[in-house]
Amino acid sequence: MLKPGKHLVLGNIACAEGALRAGCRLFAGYPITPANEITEYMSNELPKANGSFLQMEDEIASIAACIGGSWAGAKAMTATSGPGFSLMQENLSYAHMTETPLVVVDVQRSGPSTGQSTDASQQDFYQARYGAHGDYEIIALSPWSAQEMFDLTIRAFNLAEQYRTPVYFLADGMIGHIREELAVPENIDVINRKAPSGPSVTPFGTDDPSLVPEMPKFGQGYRLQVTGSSHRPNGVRDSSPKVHGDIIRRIMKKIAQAEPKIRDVAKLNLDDAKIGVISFGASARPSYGAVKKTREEGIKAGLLRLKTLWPLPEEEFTKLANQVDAILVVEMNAGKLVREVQRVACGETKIASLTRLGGVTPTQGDIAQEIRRLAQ
Amino acid sequence: MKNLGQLKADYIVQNLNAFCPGCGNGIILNCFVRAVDDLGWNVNDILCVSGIGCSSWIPSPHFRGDTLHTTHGRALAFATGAKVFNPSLKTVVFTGDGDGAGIGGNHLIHAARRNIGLTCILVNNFNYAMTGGQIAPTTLHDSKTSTSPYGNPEQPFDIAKLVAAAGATYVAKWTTNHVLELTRSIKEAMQNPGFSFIEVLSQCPTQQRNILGVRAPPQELPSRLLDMLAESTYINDGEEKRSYIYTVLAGEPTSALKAVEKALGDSGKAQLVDHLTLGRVARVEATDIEAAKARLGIPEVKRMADSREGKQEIGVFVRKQRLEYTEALREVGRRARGEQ
Amino acid sequence: MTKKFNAKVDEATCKGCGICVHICETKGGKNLKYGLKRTLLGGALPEGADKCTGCRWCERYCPDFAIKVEEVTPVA
Repeated sequence: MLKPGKHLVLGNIACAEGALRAGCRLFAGYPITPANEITEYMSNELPKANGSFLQMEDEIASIAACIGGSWAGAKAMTATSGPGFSLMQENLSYAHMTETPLVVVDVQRSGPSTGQSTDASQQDFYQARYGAHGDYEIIALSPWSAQEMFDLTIRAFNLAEQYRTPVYFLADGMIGHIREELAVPENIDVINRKAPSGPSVTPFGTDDPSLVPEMPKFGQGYRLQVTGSSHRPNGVRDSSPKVHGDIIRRIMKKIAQAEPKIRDVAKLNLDDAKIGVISFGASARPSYGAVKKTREEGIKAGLLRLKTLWPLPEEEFTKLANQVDAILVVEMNAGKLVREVQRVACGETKIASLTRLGGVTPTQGDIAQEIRRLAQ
Repeated sequence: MKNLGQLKADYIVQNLNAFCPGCGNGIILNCFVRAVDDLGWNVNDILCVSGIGCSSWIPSPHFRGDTLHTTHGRALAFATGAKVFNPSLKTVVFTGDGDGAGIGGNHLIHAARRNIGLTCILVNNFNYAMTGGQIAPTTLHDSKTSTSPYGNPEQPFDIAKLVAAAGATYVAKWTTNHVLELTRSIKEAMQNPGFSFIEVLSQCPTQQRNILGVRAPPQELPSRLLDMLAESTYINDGEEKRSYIYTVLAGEPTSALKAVEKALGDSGKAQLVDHLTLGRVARVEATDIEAAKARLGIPEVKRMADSREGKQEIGVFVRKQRLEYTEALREVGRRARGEQ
Repeated sequence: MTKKFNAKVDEATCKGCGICVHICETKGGKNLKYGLKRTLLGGALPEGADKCTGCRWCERYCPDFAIKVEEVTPVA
């Protein structure tokens, strides 16, 4: 592990470091570009920290081992990219149903299919949200720098533990492979899951206003029944309409009601902005450059950068829409986030989309030009 | 010795309402709790992991220990994560032929290759029973299932041999009619430090009556299938005690049997039995089997089959030792920390 | 003195699969027979007479944990 202080590291290494510092002690993964550095670094560091590194036979097994490990008490993580993320979806649905804390890192690459397998994208925005079957709410974070690969990975673990849920870390091939300064702090706030407070436990139900139940682990004598089928608060299978409705509503509400606490956005030059740019991850970098450049030209542009993609910070979209003359959504896909902005802020202001395919972000020049056009 | 009522009170948390009458799964659970009881292990240390399908309901929601009921085919991968993080968990995976050898076949061979210290009990009923009796990787060639109405074009896996080849350190195969052997095997498997695998051929009165064509009144069918499993298997180290053959019959079995008995005269005895691959046949026992055969050239006998034809070999196939996976991981940890 | 045994079937959990009757017939004391009572699923409920040998094969084969063999204390 890196000592506190400043280091020059790859984004993916910063992510792995963050995981180790957050207490991750089980990693199960399968090789895939551009996430390999995370997997390799974990294979190097976890054994030193008395943790378990597993290279599984595929991504399906990787996420399964994380879920099994999490119920044995581990803070678990896997790292993959789009195709591997697709393979994980069924078991991720299981993780939502069983409220299993874990972190899934998706270093997004350019698809569909093998696409440009070594190039970056932001195409899994919806795969993270809607990729698995059934109804559920998710938490997804998006880093834009090596520092955030570290900071937000720690936050991902804390959110997973606090809300007892899988957390999606949607990095991309550019931020994963960027080499930047990382400041490792002396102390880190680490949140651990709520352990049972007494001799009996209801692992899938609670009276607590957080709606997050206590989480026991295997081998403690609680005789847990963990199942992906509809279950009562004690874990016993029950497919009656009421029991299913109750558990799904609670699992969704525990995330949805915490949205204001989970929400994390950066507002750059936004106070007096008349043109609001919304972006995240790698495409937020040229967006910020374009904002600064057009400001020099006298255009009041600003950037709303999303660090939490899901739950969607809808309130921020509405606020921005009421403030600015136009919103420009910049992303590295064929236009995904823009649909959400349109859904939330449609009719409030003009909404434009700037997207780029091909494994690259829109350039600063392209974005600046679009800002100028919108400012006219 | 505890009676079944006491065993139930100690180990079973819920009646087995989900299983059809006469299902083999209950017999396997019965053998499993006896094995656990004989070993004297604390149920709090036992983790049962299962996937999807009828077999996955054997531990969950019935067994009084930790149970993890997971996704289709993936139980071994879930169990691997739990076992690696807490090697003191005595982990048992229950799976079926479709769950374990079909959708989860890859995880099965890799768990065997790693030699991870857990026990996998695979219930083989020759079909996907829960979903309505479709072709499984174990369905016999030519069986008529709900997805092979004209006969199964595929050939079945020999799962026990597959897992043995993949590197498991304990491999056995029994049927639900071998309750003592199965119980003993489960005990042995759970004490083996590495990956243990037990295939159990099991009766499924609901689907096998169609796919194997065994027709009988409801309260006789499970027993008929149990007898069929014993009839269609032979123990690998067992010697053939009696000399017998099977005669494949033409026409209605009961009247064909009478013709066989008449032809045999005093030279041998015949009885109707169910056979996994030959169907409803007459088993002919005789001290001088060749003399008996000479008398059976009658129209009611389509052909004769020797005593081992179409049977499956059962017994313990592998008992060996090799570095167990979580132990190998601990070794890697010591190396990484420079402790050696 | 020879021990006496009694096989009792739990009416609430027996599904009437008939395995115990068959096993008793082939491996045991030919004690269990179908009675007139019905199981919840409508099958015939097995009944033991006084020929139970205490071999417990029925217990080992019962898929529903529905039968138990108990030693009967002889009336003095």
